[in-house]
Amino acid sequence: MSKRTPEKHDGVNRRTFLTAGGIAALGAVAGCASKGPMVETGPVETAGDRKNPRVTTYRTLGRTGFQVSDLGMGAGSIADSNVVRYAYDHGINIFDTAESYGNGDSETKIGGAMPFMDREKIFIVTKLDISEKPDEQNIIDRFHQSLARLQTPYADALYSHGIADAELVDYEPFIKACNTLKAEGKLKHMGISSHGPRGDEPDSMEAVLGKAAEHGGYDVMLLSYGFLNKEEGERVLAACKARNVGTTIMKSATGLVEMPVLDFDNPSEQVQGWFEYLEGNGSTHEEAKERITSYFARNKPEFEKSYAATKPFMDRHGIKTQEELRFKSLQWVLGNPDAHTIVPSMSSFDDLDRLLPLSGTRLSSNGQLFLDQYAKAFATTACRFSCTECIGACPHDVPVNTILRYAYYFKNQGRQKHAMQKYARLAGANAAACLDCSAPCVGACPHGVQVQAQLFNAHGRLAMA
Amino acid sequence: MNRTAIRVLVALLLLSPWAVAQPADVHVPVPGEWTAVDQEYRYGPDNLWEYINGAAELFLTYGFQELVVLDLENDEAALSVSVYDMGQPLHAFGIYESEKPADGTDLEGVAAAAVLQPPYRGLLLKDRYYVKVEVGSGDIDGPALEAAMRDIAAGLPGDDRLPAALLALPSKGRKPGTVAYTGSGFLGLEDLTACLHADYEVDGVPCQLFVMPPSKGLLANKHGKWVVTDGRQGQKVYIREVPYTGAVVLVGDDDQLLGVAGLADHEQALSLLNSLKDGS
Repeated sequence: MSKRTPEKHDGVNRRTFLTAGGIAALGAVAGCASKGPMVETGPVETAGDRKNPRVTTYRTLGRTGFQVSDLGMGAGSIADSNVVRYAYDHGINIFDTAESYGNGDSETKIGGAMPFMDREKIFIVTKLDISEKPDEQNIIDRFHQSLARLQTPYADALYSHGIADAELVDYEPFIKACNTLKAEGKLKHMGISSHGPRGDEPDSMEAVLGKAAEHGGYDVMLLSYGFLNKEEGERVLAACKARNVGTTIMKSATGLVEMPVLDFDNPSEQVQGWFEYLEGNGSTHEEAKERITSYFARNKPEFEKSYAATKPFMDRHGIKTQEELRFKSLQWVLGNPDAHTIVPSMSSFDDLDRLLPLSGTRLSSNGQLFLDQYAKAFATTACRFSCTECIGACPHDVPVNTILRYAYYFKNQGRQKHAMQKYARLAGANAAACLDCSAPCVGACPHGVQVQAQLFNAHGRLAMA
Repeated sequence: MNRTAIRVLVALLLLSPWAVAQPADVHVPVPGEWTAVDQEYRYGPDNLWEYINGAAELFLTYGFQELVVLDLENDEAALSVSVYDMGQPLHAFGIYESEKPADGTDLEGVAAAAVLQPPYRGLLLKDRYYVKVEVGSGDIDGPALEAAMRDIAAGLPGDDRLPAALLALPSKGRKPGTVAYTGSGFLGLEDLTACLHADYEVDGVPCQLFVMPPSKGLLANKHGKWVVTDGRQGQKVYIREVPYTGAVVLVGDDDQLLGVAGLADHEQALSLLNSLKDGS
């Protein structure tokens, strides 16, 4: 495992696009295909057949030539093999897993469903962490263990997992291992995934995947893409399209539109979720109530402010729940034919029943308008965190995205102590350096965030200055 | 709303300020003959992904609280030790059982449970902690890795026994080595959360038995997917047909439910559950 150092560099975030109203990252990972009819666009806002929902749309996964379902299965938290089988029986034909998901348990669960699936009609992606720079034989040995768990003689794609160092795109042992496995008929395609920088690996998703697209050896990749990181995602998609690279999408369901209302007699969905989590982790109902009340009291002003800013959007477009926003975010991605398949986490039959009707749909103009306005509202106040484009403009090497993430912890997550501790432990310059700086960072943010003003604000909170 | 999504969202946004089991200030024990290479690094529910990618999702469904990582070295090898504080012993047991390799070698007398997964990993369970010891580089044989794991386990606080909650499952007919704990989505049903389960053979018929606290989803039955009836002595009976599995039947009260899956019909399942509750 590589040593990742959040204190030194946790400004980069795979969980794309935290907004003033909330956060993303509910999607999971995945990627692959089946041989169904190819339909590039679907009906607008069609709910599908909710009684017997199934995939309606398949797309060509770049130069792999495979026809993948537009909805794939992210297998990060599967508890039962029958959920995989159910997905297959309803038209999903791409399954995205990894060696590290449950230490191989996710692969085992997919393997458990393998006897019930036509192997030639599914596309299996697995991934290996190469951050410790393993040798070729190590990669081959681990891949063989993955195949054994998956109960398959071959995988359709092997990705290097979560790459945040562009130099690893050229990592020779991984490339050689893939070539060896391909020659033996155990692997069909080499691929790569990236969420952007993390720890002591600093490169953006675009830097990594852009390089991979040009490399020529990577046939398919997994990227984060949603309406709030539209620009970076679309640049990667364009690079893939130009070279006919297959694209699989994760972490597209972003945003939090439902602010908590503390009414225990008629608890909101969000408050019910809090109760469920706390009680599921051992609290009595009364203890949970007390904790929620205390938390709510501390953060009520922030909740009210955020809710007031968000409510007009929801009223205008009829959006009432987090799930509606999640679905609209997925539909936003589904409307882009260059995103060949999206692989949200699917962990239960119920989850599948809710997600399958989205296949083949795209946003109506109202839904698109909602997301556009939502994005615009937060575009100039919300740092993307995974983007590092402003960093070079600072003469003091202030880690802008890291500090603004800590400010996010402070302001939006209510984790004041945690955020202040992290800020205090920052190595190198902090935002105090901005106080008497001439601000060459003005205009450095491609999203229009006023960097210096945001850092002033963050410093005031995090240092109690 | 997708309960996994709710759980992840809650963990990311809000859990830390009032987590039920606040992270203990645990440190990675340094075994004899090993030295720390660097400082400890800590990760919470919001940034666990930075260390373990998408694998973080599963940990969140088991109530993950905090991860502490420390790199160690000696003259022969380098190790990375990851101590996951799962908040409760049962949660740690659940993730340990989930990640335990089928082809690993069980280690006797190391904490509550431990396993070697040659050539590069050892896993152990102690109290609320799930620990991974991974060989980063160099040569280390099984006995040396086991010795390091033994020292690490000894240096962690808590109980060396398996969680007492495991006793909640009936013992009669239970197949050895099949007890497991699933945080969410047991049998692919999002209403089945915090389930302790095992494989059984009852009168020659295989089935799965499980115990769980009543979940909100089950009680609310918002989508009407469960048939709910009154059982004996004020208890409720919940029945649902599950794809490929057949009937799942639960019986219980406000404190605990006992469930069975895999039996041919509802009556047989209900009869079994009632007999277990009667202690027969």
